[in-house]
Amino acid sequence: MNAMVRSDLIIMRRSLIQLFGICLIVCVFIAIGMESLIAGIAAVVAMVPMMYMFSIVAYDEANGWERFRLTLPISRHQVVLGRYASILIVFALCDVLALATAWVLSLILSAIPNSPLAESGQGGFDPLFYLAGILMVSAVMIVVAAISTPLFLRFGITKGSRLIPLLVLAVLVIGIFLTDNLEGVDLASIPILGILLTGGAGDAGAMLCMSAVVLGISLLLLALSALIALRLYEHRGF
Amino acid sequence: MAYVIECSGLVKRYPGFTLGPLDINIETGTITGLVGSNGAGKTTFIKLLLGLTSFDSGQISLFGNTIDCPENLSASVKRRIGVVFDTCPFPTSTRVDDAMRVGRAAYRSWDDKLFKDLASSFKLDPKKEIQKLSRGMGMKLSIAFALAHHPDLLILDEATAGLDPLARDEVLDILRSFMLDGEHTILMSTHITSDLEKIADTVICIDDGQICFSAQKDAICNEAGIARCRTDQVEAIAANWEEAPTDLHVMKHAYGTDLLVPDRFAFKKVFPDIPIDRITIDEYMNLILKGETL
Repeated sequence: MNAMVRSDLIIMRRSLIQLFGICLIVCVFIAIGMESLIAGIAAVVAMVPMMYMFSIVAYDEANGWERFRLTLPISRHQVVLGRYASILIVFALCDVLALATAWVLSLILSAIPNSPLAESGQGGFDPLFYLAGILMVSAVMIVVAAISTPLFLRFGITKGSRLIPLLVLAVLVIGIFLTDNLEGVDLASIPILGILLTGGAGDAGAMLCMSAVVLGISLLLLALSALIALRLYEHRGF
Repeated sequence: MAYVIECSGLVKRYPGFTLGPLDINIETGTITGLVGSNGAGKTTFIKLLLGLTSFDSGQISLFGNTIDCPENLSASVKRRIGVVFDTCPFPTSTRVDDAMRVGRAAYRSWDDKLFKDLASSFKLDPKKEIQKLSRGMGMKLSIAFALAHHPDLLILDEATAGLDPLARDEVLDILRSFMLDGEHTILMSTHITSDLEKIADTVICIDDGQICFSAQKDAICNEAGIARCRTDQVEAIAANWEEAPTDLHVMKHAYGTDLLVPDRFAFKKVFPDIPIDRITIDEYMNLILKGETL
């Protein structure tokens, strides 16, 4: 699995650096435009892993790399698990960089006189608040990874990306159906869901707790997705 | 006799096409050429050997290990195989030295020095992006990658296709060097049969999923021949040739009939008046695949 993770990261190394650079610029524009640094940081956390997931699958197909990779001493299981591991590494790296970016940008932007962030009172850096936001966005993107990765591994990017909207739609329909059938149940009375539904009520500690719970659930979904991907990739012909 | 590859009754079915049953054994220390028309099943056979697709029945054994689960070829077997496909497989965004990093990550026996030496002798700039390599340079990179982990078996699928004659000769020289110690083996699929005439020991022809012929290259290029007969001579030859093979392959054309002769020297003794030429693998294939059988 180590070889697969390393090969993914070797292939994407330069693209990742470019992605971070582009997303940093996007982050600054969003932060200034929306007068909210957390919105800009959220864009970085969402964009980089998303673009990583699509790019690495596109590189898989280009030049027949995925076929050739199976001739290396890497088993199909290692390919799948290594791909999930590399996605998680990118998420972790992105979260750390986003937090560092938030700290640096908040220092810079709050020091500029009359800057929109300083005037809106968002110039200060509360690490718990930013970490909570970063983890929440990561959790959402991990769900996206959980849905898309098995499809990409089984069908490739062209067919896989056609199937993803269908699956997302199915998840939404099931969600709406379940919500409709929960009328009369006081979800806020359940401790964890209470925090989730009230959004932590502005308390950074509570928000971090909420984000951690959502992240935990999304990681469970990712683990389930990896199990499905193992089955789907096992018999794929090249 | 030690075999690197042993296949018996190997069958792979696709809708509208069936490969096999194939019985192919490839000896250690030999170069085997796989020839045949497009879509004949050569690449499918290579994919089966490499575990890239599953087979429906039969058996494959590599280095004496029977492959139980074709889609999960063991790492210990894969480590002994170097593969070169018809395109340089590395993603376009990577550079030549990234291929080395991937090799280092994947193979225990990876030899950085050998890779660098080969890359240097091929004039491959380590910092050059894969997308900027010409086809020939891309194939040289693939070959350097395949050799740098010291494989015992080299499998090449159309590796010389699209290369100019000089580049092809360079590639053939590398393959000859690889074979010097007599312990390595090459299986190469190609449409350029002149390459096989230069280096192959055995030629296997696959057509429509079946083995058409499997012969020593010397038996084709040095012993066999093509008799240039008048059409009216063919029946007389068939009637008077005591050592005639069971199936006589002939091809009629505007000025006469070509006859495939397994031993042109013996034939010349029996029919001294009939002109006979050496035969190329291309002509041999043509006569067997497209000729009539008497």
